[in-house]
Amino acid sequence: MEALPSAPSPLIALVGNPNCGKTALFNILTGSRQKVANYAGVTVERKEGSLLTPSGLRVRILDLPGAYSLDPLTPDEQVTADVLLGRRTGETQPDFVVCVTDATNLRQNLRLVLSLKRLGLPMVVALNMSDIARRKGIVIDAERLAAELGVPVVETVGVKATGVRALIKVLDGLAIPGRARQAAVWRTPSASDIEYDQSEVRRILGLVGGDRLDGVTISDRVDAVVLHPVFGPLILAGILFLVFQAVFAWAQVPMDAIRLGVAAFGHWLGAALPESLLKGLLINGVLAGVGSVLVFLPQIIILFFFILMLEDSGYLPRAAFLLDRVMGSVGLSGRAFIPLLSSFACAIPGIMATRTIQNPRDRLATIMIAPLMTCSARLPVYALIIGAFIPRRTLWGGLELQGVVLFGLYIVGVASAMAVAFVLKRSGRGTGFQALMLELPAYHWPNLRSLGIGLWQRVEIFMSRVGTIILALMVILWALS
Amino acid sequence: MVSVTAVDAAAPAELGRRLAELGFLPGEAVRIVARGMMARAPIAVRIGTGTFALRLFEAACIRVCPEQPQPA
Repeated sequence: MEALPSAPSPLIALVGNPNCGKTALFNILTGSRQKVANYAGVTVERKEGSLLTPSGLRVRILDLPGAYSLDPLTPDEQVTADVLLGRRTGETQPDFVVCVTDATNLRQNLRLVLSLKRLGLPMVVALNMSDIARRKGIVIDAERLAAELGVPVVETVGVKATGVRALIKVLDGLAIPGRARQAAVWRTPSASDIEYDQSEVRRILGLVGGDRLDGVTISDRVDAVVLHPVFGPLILAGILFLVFQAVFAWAQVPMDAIRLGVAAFGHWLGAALPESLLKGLLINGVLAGVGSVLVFLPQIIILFFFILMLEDSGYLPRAAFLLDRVMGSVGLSGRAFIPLLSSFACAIPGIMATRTIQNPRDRLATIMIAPLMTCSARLPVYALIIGAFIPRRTLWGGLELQGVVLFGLYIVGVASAMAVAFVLKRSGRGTGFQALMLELPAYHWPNLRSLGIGLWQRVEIFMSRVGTIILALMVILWALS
Repeated sequence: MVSVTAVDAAAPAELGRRLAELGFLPGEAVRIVARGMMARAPIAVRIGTGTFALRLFEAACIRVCPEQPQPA
């Protein structure tokens, strides 16, 4: 927006493996100056932000979807590869690439670095999560790594404002305006390329360190319980149950407050305005309409809070792992769990999250059953019905009967989705191999800043809908009545 | 339970490629971290410093042999 008309802001792309902390780094770099949209024609989220460097250079930063390789297998990877190669219509090819790597998992991340290097775009490697690496006793010789790779290497901590200073300094020094764009060259890696990369990775890791294959990590100890054949599913059920109890119990107070507030405002407005058609429109149309939707907000915030927490901590893929066998029996991948869980908040982000499912048929099946999940907009209806028909009683163990009934309604939604999935599986042709291949990243504490930004984005999307489509519909409905 | 992957068998091309991209390459150390309770449940496999959930048919594409002392 503040771009100089003479020199367009350089476009910097963040590229990295999934789970390398790329989005946290993006959040730190751009703060709340982000635009969230969609890539044209696909359900892949496009995140762009901007950053003003200390010397006054305004750069645009594009957070590309996570990719294990540039030879794409998922829609996410397709977008990343296409944008980097300048093949995606409507997207400019980035001027500069920041390859974000997980410093604790360089062995895996370096392969992407090597194939990015082959593209020939100017780049810098960010050794992200360098604080965690250091705590784990992993020492990486960044200078040596830079010398071996032939590109600058900086250490970053994606969750601290001070952790990106070195990276900003590199971006600050970019002399991009007027630079002749290099053509990125692409050829599909052959078997010998892959072998070469692997031996390169080993050679470089041997030189720079950072390849400590530590025996039992904290994550392993957590996993011993969380992925346990018996305790794992119990813990999962407990977490899901807690989420639904929270959505029902915690949201009550703010929801009542919103309802009262809107009603009070309506009264005040009713007393203050002279009797007219406009008054009727304002109070019965606009205010009543917006108010009836606004009360969903606390529930949406609570639900997204839990989903983002589970996602950020690394638990969601574990849940997918635990549920893969059950979901596989109706022809779904365990990966479908994540989109389906998001669908409890709203089917739209849920459908967007299906992009991590590789198999197109699995993806379609998941998209088709996502709306069967009880989305948060249905919650008020359930709440109303439960409030009317189910007595407010406490069962054994302090559980609320109303909460239990709500949980039951959700289960019914899940069961019907499973039934539809099963029918879809039966009616479709067998597709043979359906891969799971899901990374279980190391656990870490959710980053409050990223959580806040993520939550705020959801609230913004919801509010903009309240302010536009829903408001317009409410006014039309008022006029009709 | 530490072993070393040898080669991917005659796996479907795309599957073999993805496994290679995730790091299942000759000479890398692998270890099973977790198994499910039900039959044919996926397993969690440690490869290098990463952990991946694999369905059994995926894991079956990976040939392993007992770990040999690495030549220095």
